[in-house]
Amino acid sequence: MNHRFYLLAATCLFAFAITVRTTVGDSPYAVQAAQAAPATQKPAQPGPQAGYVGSDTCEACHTQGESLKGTPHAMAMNPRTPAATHGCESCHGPGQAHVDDDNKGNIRKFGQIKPAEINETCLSCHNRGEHAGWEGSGHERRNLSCTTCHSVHSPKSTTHQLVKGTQTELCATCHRVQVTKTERAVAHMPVREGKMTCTSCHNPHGSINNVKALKVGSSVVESCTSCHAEMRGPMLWDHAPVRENCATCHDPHGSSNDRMLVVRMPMLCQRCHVFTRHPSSIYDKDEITVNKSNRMFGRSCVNCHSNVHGSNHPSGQFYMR
Amino acid sequence: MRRLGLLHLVVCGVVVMPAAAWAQSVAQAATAVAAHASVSQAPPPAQAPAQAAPPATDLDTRSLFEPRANQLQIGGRFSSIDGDPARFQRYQDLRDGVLFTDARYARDDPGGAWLFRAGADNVGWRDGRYAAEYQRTGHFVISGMFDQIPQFYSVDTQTPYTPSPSPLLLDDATQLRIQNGQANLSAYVPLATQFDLRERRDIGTVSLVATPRPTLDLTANFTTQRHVGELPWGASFGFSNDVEVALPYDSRTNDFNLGAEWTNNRQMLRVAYTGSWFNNLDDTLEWDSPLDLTDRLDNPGRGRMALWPSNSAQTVSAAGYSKFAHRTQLTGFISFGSWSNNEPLQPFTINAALPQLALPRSTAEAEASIFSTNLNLVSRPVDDWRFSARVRHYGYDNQVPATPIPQFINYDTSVTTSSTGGPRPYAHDRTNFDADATWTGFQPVAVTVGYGHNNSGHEFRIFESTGEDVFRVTADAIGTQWVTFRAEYELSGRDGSGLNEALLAQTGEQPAMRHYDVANRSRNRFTGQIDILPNELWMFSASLGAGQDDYDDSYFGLQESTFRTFTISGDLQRPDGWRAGASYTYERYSGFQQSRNASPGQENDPLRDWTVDSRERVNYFSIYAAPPRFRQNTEARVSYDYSYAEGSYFYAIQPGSPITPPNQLPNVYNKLQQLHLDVRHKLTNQWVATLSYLYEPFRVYDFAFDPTVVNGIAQPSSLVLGYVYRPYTAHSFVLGARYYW
Repeated sequence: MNHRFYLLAATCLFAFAITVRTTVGDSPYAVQAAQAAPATQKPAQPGPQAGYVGSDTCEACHTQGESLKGTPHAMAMNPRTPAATHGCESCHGPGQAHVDDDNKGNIRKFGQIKPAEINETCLSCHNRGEHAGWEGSGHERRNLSCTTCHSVHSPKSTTHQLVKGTQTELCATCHRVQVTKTERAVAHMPVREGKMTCTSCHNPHGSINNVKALKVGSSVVESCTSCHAEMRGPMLWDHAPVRENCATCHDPHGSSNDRMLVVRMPMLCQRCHVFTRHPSSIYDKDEITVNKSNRMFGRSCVNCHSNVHGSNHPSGQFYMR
Repeated sequence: MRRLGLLHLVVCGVVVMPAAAWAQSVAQAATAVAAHASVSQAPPPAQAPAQAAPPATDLDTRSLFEPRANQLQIGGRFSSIDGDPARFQRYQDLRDGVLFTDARYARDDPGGAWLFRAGADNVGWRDGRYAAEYQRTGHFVISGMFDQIPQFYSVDTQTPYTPSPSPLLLDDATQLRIQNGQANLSAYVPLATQFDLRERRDIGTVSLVATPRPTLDLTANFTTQRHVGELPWGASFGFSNDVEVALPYDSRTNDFNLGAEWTNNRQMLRVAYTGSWFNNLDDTLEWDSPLDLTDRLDNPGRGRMALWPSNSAQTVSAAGYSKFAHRTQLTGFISFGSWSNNEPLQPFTINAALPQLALPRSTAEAEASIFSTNLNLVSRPVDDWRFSARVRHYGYDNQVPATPIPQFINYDTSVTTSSTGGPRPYAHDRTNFDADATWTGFQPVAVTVGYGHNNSGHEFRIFESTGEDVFRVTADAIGTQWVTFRAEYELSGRDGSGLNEALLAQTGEQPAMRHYDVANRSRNRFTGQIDILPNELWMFSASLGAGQDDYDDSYFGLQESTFRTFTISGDLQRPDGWRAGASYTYERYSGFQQSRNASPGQENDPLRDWTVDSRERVNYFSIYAAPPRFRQNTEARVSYDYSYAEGSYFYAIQPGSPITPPNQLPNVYNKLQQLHLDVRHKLTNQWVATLSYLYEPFRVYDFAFDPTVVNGIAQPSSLVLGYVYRPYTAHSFVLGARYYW
């Protein structure tokens, strides 16, 4: 089917995109975004513009500006920051109408607007690097906003201005099962030891290049082999499921099984292999305690098929050399 | 009981004041509790903080657990471990000694023109980490890090083999005695020496991000990683002569990335190059046969295998997006990759008694090219609607040339005819289309319906291609102050086409086997979570997950897998500073598979079918408390985590089966508890004394690694290392002082 179908789908996507008008005028954030355009900004504060009152006016009533000190948002020497443009009003919008309003409306209050509007504000500056894949990302699709995870004025973490103390703790808010897997006693990634974090592998802002919000590569295999390069190959004798997806056999977050396998061996191997020449046997308790079968203790099948990820040996058809 | 030495404790007790220092695992309590985590946390990496902390003169107002921009800790650690110290220190170095850690240094230009950050953790220990960053504001950032990750397998391991490097040799006289039938594997027991089985990764990285223009970023990154040590490895000569050795491993991987990204308010364009070179310095393992000294026709004196081959990967990519009217954005990505392994091919065997087969060529000449592209469209044409669509393609083209290997040497013991005549150049491609629509007209709820079609092509797999239709519905409500919820239901069906059972028969597999990663499958999944904040003090959360995969067309292999998860938690945060909380998580996973115990001639007998029902249940409980500062100068944090996982495997056979009724396997389990207590006491405006305590009992039973099963290095048909799972009970104290400036 299928290449034609996808070719058609891709063509439709392009066609849709290029036939709409290429203006940004109908976005409520377009003006703000344009005014924050880093290409034309200078490190010095810009001159007064219509509707803007300046941060000094804001700070006459609001103390939250203090919380920005020492944060990237306050780096006035960086032309990309709010401090180099309109200060508070870079994010909250022009303040004159707010100042003039006895009810103190007419200002962008992030606790009262839709997630998409919050995101649009933040993305007017955070539109590059690791944030470039936000639109269409899994988190964006689930209606999350930047402020679900980040706090500009009262962050709890030492880096990235998170609303929780650590990255893992933040991710556990929703991805609790994945995080508790990193607590598995037998086999886990070194997350609880502080050597890895969720973002060692994932980009929570979405991935332009990969699935599952993976940062590196264009497939699960490419992500895993960016650290486990020994498995990358290609090998003379590849093992098909290894070549296609590491997660077919491994749970990357942690497992109660040796080597983070999704199920212990030999059951794992027997899910795909029912040989007649090497009969698929029940290795029961007697095989363990009485017969001490080397198909069962230790690493089971891999006691012999140790090159299960692929072999570069001409005698490696069954991954034993 | 095994103790990790006391000498260093005495030293540090003299050096430091009566206080405690942060020290990795022990300090997890502090970090976890301070951050009111429901899962235990390790300290944040030593990367330079992106934001500077306020000056150190505010110890009266800020928590003593809050990190500062300029700080260091000195102290000493004392651990008592009854049981397996290797498991306790799997990725850590928790030996006794003087600690210099959690050091952070920050200096900023008063005018904001530049800033410098540096950090160091566990200085001089096996798990040390060092990082620094210099930023010229608005111009460039250069950063570097050196990180060491140990992996400690065992202190129980013994081997009669000579230590690395390869070849791993046995005592010739003992080999000869066994070859002559004068001894058995037990003869190696007195020759075996104990050794610590461990490996480590040393990772160094340097990154540069330059901003010559506000719209342009140039990036460069170089990472070098050395992976060295030993790991348990199977080195078999056949069913009755299985060997486990400590595999010498020494490799280096160098990665280099170069990129440029241009962005304005409406478009982004990025180009990048990534190169990766893996160099295995130990790419061959040679080891003596425990049963034979000299090569004979079916009994080699020594074996040799190829280890992971050195390889390289090069990728060029481009990505970009463009914003259009109606809040529409189109994002695209394309990349081309080339992977290569051209290592020399080893001879078929080093058994001199066997004929030497002619190699198909001298080197592997293994090449693969990869093409990947993503296209993603998101549009919000009106306020209450969002539409998105994605097309993704990934193709792995295996370009290994035809490699005729009609015969090979099995286990260095015998000439064997290859059933396939040589390697199958596995290749695959995936193309995915996905579209969804979201309605947000009923704030704060967002309802999304989506459809996806996944198509995969496979070369030399049982299905030539598979197609999967995926339907999903999600409902998410965030943004209210008192309740948020998320729910997702997914229904999908996958069907394969181009079934080729001959590929199975060719390798001696049952033709009715269906490999579960490509087999026909129907999937039902639901996940949901609700968070309730009845007032400013309390937050309650509950989540539920359930799903089932059915492989109805698979006679052999995985038939069904399910999961059930449930979580409930509550957190309290009082105005006086009290914070406390608890959570409970239950997980259950199951898998049901069918097989057949049949030798040639019996393969069509369904009475020889058997099944195994695998189940795992996990109970996880966590509680923490962080009371406010008491007596002006003292703060404490305490947390407790409990994790218990139990697995069962139930075999069943057919009524009237000729198979011997199985004696069921015992259940396996592992239980980890962690009690963290962390106390900090302000001595002056610059000194804080710290005391940390960790109590960590670990209990485990796994029949495959149990000391009653692997009860020595000599087994009936195996010579092993004695690598087993053992429980432990650890107490670890850290006394130290934290200095701020």
